Amino acid sequence: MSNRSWAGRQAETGGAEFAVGDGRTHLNTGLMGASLVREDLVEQTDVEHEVAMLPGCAVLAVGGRSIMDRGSKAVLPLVDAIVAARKDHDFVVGVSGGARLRHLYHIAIDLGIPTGGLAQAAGASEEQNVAMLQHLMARHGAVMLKRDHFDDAAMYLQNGLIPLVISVPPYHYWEPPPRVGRVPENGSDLGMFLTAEALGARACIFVKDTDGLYSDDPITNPDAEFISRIGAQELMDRDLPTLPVDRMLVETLRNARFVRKIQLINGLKPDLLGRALAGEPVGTIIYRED
Amino acid sequence: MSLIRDDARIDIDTPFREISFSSASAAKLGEGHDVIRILPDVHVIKVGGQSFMDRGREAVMPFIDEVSALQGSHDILVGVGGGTRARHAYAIALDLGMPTSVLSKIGQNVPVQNARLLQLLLAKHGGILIDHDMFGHLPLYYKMGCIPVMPGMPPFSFWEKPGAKGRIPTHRTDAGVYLTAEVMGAASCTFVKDEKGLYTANPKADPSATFIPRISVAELKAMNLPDLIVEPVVLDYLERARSVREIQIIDGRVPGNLTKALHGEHVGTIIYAD
Repeated sequence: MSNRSWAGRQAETGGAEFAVGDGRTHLNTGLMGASLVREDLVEQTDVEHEVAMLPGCAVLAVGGRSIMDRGSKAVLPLVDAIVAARKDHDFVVGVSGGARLRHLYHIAIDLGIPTGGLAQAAGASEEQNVAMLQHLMARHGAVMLKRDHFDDAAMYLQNGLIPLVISVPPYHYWEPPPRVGRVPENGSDLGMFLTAEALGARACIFVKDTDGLYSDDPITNPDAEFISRIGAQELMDRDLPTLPVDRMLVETLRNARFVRKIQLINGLKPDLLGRALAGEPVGTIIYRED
Repeated sequence: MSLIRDDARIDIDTPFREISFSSASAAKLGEGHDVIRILPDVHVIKVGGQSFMDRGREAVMPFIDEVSALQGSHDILVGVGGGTRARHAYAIALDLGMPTSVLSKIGQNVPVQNARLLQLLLAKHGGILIDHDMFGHLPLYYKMGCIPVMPGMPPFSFWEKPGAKGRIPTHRTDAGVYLTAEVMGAASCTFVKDEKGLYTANPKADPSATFIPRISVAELKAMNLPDLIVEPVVLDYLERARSVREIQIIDGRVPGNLTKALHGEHVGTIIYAD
């Protein structure tokens, strides 16, 4: 870790100093003239403690296919649990797209749309789901947080409201080409995790329809073994045939700065939500190892 | 395709229904399909922030003249970088202990300033400022003879992933403009900088650096260079790209280079995926 002051040169000279002479007009700082690519420079930008935005806040990610597509039987008891938990905890809530997102991808791939086009069109399925959740919880203070208006989140939380966030990350047309196939790698689960990272959240909980992580899909393979706790790197190394969350989330968790673990819980058992928010392990915990 | 109602949920009958997006089988779906090119005649040009805009009139004005001369015969999209003011903002943010997400968010503003400047200079030739939400209007703009100018930063904002090392966002304006070209299926993607192209080291710091006229991504990665003239993620994405499998880096200060590059001539460094 470096103690180098990135603004240091600027401070020494008493403010912004122009540096000229190579034909370009620079501002004199610790990054002056740098390509920002040099590995040694990038590593020097590490710091022991980064500053969290809203460290008391938690993030709840509700499954689209696993919860929303089940309709009232699954959603209404979960909504009650979310509203009840709000008395004791600050959190933001998001939801993924579900069956309509799968259908959209299927049609779009058939039409020859590139991955960026799939990603751009994807958000609408989730927006329908989050609109329905907002409607159900409006009387309890649910408000829609516009995309990256995290400055509003502080106001909403301090006033006891329940901010709802967009789960899909805003990569849109700029979704990088995936390593395999055409489906965008950066989905709702990753987006909610990155929301939690950006907020510097204290917890990130994924609410799905199984008790957590299994060695295989427990619905199609009854012999699948339950995994209550596993490191992100170990989980990647096991190369399981399927995962209940985006693979990219597990990969990115290895570099987490604030949200060094996530918990997957069963939203069909709504009483688990409050316990998970209180820090109890009631599902599967995936954590950053080092 | 129809709705499927079982005890659990209302589902849609697609091949994706029973598989998780995280499963190996889902990832392979669509692999065999061709991808359409959305705007195949558009030439995407990335103007460097530090390497070009920060040189002011001496570099920028001849570039404006050359772009305006190409207007009419070429559909052009100009994306622009940040430069030294972006580095200044990053330096202050790093000093304050800010995470990658915040650096990515504040990294958006300076390319917007540069795009506004370029748009004002190109206005009389049809230059218009576009942002990420105006992508669907591009065919109209080209029909009307416009030269869209956009800030190069991708719209990732707070959703930029933390990297393994350091706090500098890995997706900056090179990645943003390259991904623009790739999703459009653009005719070409040219990076306008203040060096002839790629060297074995930064030629500004190391006079012994040698010029590399043409290289594959695999060869370039194997060289493991300590510094690069483009953001490293661009190399990864070139390898996975469906449409834009090469980029050219040119010295935009040499008159005629841009025009030649848009005509497919080799005037700088071409980096290509095998």
